[in-house]
Amino acid sequence: MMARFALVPSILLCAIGFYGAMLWTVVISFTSSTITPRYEFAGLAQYVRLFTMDRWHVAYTNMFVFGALYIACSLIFGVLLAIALDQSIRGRNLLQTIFLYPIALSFIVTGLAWQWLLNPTTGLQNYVRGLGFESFAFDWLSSPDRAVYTLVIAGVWHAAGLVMAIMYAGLGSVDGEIWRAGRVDGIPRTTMYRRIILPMLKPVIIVCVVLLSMDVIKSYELVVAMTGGGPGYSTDLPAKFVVDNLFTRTNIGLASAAATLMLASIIVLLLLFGWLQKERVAR
Amino acid sequence: MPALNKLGLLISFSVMATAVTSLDALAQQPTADVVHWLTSGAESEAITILAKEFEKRGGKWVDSAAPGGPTDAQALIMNRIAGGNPPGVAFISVGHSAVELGKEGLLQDIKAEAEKNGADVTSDVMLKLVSDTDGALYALPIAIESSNLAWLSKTVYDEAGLTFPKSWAEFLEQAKVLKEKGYIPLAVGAQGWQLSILFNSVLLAEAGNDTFDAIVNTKTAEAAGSAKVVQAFTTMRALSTYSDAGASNRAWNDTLNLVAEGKAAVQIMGSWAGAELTKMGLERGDKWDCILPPGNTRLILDGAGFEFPKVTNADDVAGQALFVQVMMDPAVQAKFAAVKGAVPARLDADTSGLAPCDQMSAQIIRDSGSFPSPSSVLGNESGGQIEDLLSRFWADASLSPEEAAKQYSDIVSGGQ
Repeated sequence: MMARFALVPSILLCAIGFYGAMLWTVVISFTSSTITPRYEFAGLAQYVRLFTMDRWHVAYTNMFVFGALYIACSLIFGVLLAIALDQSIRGRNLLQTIFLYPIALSFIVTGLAWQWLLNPTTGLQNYVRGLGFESFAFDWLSSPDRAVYTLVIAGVWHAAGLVMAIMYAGLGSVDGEIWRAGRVDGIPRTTMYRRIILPMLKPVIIVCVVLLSMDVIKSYELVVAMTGGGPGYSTDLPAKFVVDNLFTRTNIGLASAAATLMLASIIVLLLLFGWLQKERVAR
Repeated sequence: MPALNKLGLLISFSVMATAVTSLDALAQQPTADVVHWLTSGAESEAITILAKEFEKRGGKWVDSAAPGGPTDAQALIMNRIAGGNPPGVAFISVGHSAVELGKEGLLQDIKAEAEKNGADVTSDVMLKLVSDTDGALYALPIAIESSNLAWLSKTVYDEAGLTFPKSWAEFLEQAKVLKEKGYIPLAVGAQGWQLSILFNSVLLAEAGNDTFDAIVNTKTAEAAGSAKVVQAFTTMRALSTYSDAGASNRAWNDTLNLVAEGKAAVQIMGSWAGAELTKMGLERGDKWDCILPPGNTRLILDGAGFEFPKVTNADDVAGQALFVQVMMDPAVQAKFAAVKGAVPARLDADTSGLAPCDQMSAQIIRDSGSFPSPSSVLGNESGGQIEDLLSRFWADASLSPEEAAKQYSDIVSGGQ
């Protein structure tokens, strides 16, 4: 009884600080608030406005383009790295540290470093041209159609190590008996991984996917540091849209509407995740 | 025993009395709790000038710096107002948002204080920005920054054998030559606010003073969508081909460095670029020069100033009054502007201590006149939309000048 009682403050804090704030944001999104919160019901006006804004469409679409590529590539590279480490190669600890290192850096540092690397006049392109390949071009960072892929490159560099570490732990927990059984049956290693080991690790993979999806939805620093949303607003993401409108553009209503749509997206993802889990249990 | 008790009572009373009187003494000191973001180098020196003067005149200065810049400061002010603990004084970029806040009833109308302290000799372009239509005054400017100045590399122009152009058309002619010689004709950092500065000076040249006046002072949609504005966007599109590949999201000072190093011919940037060049150890006239951009005859101004959130405590109210006296003192403004790299908002203040480019600005403001910048007139939201439009226009050639001018006109006339 006492124990439950002791939990009350933290539950309250959570309820008010977390869910209260969420609810407040949703409420504000239905008002005509601009520089200060004003409780004047405006119906769906903010949402209508949001959907007429080209910048919001670009930002929202980018979240899916960036998200899908970021999650897929991080998973592929992470899993491949984990499998490579699993081959008991020499210098495994050193390699693990090297690949895990990027995750220790913040997205801001990652973004700045990759901005320098990919900047056509100071980075990679300039360097390769300096070596004598005059026609070499890698200017994705300044191309509105491709800049979003540079975010993926930087993001994957940052996150693949984490996936590797989690997957490597997962691979280590696979019972040696299963491998022995595979060898007895003469199953090739690749088939073993593809058909048996990785499917066994599905829960671990789902954890990775969830962690990465959170990164995608809250990703703000990476864009700010690397492209500033540009060229134009071609690499804008919803989180940046919200922050810009909430603080610099003092448009609380519009920002809240955008934040509410982000929240809705997260809820859909969570439902999907829950459904996947249930499917697994049902089988 | 009772005697002792009496003595004890007497002592405790006298202690209490002294405590109360000393509290009283404290309570009568005018106090200014100042939110600002002037934390780096010269800017921090500038705010110290105000603080020292304020304390010299008997005030108590509470420094609430928000090192994250204007956005952080804005959030801090709003949070403190919402939390019932408003700061007495807040540093701002002079613009329409002060009026928005004032209309919400959050700011003190300081018209009376201002009139006692030289509002009549203060830049009326600045004062108009923070005046409500009903006459209330919600902020005061302390220093003026010019946003349309051309920072040119004398080295590049000398080596190319060219003189600085008189119009943007001539600039584009020269740009071809400069590009062939391997220079960057126009140094640009393609971020919304920097493009906005460039566009304003193109617009002022192509549309002329009258149309520009109609846009910033009456927000006329016809003016903002006129053929002259289409022409400005056409010029802007042509200019976009004369920058370099690294322009995307480049910070303004990195961009200025291209001019300083003699790699680029010119950058259009605000008066703060002069301070940066001086900091690099380069004097005006040596390798670089400042001049009005092609076709510009007047300056487009942004201001730095203070707003005064409503406070109830007598100390804070007295503090606001004393603060206005200090900040409107022409000698203080002259020192503040000289250190920060700007022009004093009071036109009667001494300008002899200013940097050469700022002296030039001061003279243009006095002799030829000035405009407020469109973003300061339109407020943060519409200003932000214009930045979005310009950065998209700069990067995306499929957006035609006609369509851009139409969108521009919608934002300008819808703004407020």
